[in-house]
Amino acid sequence: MKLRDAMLVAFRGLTRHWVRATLNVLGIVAGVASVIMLVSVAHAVSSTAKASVEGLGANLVVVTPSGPSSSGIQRGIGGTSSLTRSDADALSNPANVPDAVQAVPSAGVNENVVAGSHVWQTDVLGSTPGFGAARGYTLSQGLQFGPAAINAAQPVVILGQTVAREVFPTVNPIGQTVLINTQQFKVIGEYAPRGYSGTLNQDDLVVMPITTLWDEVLPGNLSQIQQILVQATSPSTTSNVAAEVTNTLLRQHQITDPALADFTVQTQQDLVASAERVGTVMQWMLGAVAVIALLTGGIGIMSLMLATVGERAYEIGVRRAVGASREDILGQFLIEALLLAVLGAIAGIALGYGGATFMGDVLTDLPAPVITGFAILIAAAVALVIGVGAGLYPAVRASLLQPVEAVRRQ
Amino acid sequence: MIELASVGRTYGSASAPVTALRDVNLVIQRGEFMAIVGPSGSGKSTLLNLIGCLDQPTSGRLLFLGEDTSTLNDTKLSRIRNRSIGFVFQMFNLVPELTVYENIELPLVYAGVTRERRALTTKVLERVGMDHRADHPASLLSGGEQQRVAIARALVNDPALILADEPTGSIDPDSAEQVMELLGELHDQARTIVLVTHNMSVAAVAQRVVRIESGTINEIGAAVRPDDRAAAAAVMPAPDWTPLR
Repeated sequence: MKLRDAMLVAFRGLTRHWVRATLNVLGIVAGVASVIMLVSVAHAVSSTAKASVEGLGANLVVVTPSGPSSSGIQRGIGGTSSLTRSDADALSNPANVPDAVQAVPSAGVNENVVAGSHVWQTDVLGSTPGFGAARGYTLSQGLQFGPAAINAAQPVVILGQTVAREVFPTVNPIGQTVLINTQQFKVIGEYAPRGYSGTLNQDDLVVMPITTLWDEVLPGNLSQIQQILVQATSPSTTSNVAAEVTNTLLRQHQITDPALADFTVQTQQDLVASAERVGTVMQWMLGAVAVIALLTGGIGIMSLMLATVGERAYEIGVRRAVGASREDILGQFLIEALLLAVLGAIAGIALGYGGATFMGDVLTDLPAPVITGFAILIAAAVALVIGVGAGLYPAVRASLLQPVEAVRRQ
Repeated sequence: MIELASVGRTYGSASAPVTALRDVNLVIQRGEFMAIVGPSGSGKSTLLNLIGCLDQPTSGRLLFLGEDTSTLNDTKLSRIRNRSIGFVFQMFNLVPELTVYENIELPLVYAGVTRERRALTTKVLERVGMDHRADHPASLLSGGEQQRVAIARALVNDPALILADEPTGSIDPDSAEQVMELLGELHDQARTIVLVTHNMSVAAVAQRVVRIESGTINEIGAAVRPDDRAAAAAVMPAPDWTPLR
């Protein structure tokens, strides 16, 4: 029997029983679609996390107030930060951290920015004049606040492009006043657009002197620092800087055992790598869930095909009587299973693609799903393996039917 | 052409065997038209299935063209069924979801014939007068039409042996007449025909009649001489369809 004829026979076997074929294929379609959708969402989440880290700027060492406190008790969210203004000052001292250009402390809160009838919720950050350089922001117009503004806790703000556009759609924001937490702030500058990093809008922020944030926006909050960015002189000195920062802060906090450090020092490469690790784990986890769905589809195919062998005993007998060998029957059933799997994979990819896109449109809180070749490849490969695997046993059963038994069962 | 030497066929378990055939000795000559007659349950279909390599004897030897079928593997037996044997069954045994044309070309598909497939299929379709129904689903045809399609399928690979199991058992008398005419013509073209029937007037067309009862053979010799076949046919009603080419 020629291969082309084997394909033709299997194709006719499917098309002349299209209801049965459709039922068979549905399990695979649902499985493949769920693999693609779940892996796409996982990929989007992880790539957003990675992009937000990368968006921080170049050559950065990030200090955060995490890790065990001196008593060994893990601090929860909302607890008192272990990083203080004197820490930031110590890290700014070239004697302590010779390989650093500068150290930029920051704290932030999500607040409404109000101007007239316009209200926009955004990230309000308090920082120092070095913020723009460390994070890669430049001014498109206006001025940067200087050290004097820090010392005096002046009520001034610099707006990101998105905030400027939303709050002042018709007038130039420079010189205007905005309300944040009922306090008045003067707009002195506007950042040039940075665009999106992944799904993170880098233009959706307001920056003010960190002392102003402490005094006016977060009163009573004990001058906390949520993050200190230390900018290294070059990418090659970031590991030196990390070591220098660690030593300085251990000394500042009077901690002798580095294992008890109440802060975390990470280079930007560390952060990207850990974001990637988390993302990869998440992708595999969701992928595994989806593969289980696909397996269930495969079991469905197997049971349906087994029932089919019984139903088709007559047809198999007729084919055997006119000269089909065991291999011919085996081939026919296997090719039918393979065709079902391929059809299911194609339909599943289309459905998964559409579903992931739809999810991105509807669930705007989630990052838009990123459909990867990896997801599609995994889904298609598993569908094929499962399709053929599920088809194998019924096909062997079909091929072992004695021709005379089959003819008799009419 | 075919030789059965003390062939037996038993079904069921060793503890409760059901004997369908016992110690059958039979030689079928090339070009012979043989009828196997007997009451239902006598084992005549079992015998035909053995001759047709659909089934294997549980004892004795069956030689097909000189080869002991018990020594042949499934692929070789399938090739014999495909190239050397054409089956015509009482219930036609067409694949219902395939068209008339697709049913007839099946043996050629399994034989791996590609280039001549259309020409050969069309030729036998015309020969049985079913070419106008080529694209009809087989399941929508009348019994007589289905049997003509089944005969076309049995002929398409030009086999030396035609095995017919009650070919007129499920069709109307006119169609039966046509089917018997066709079988007669095939015999005239030097094919060997083995026909199973319980109807003596159908068996009368054969050169030689073998009676089988309770699984054993009792040859009753030639019921009708070949020359008398026309006379026997004349007793039956004349066919009402155009003669075969």
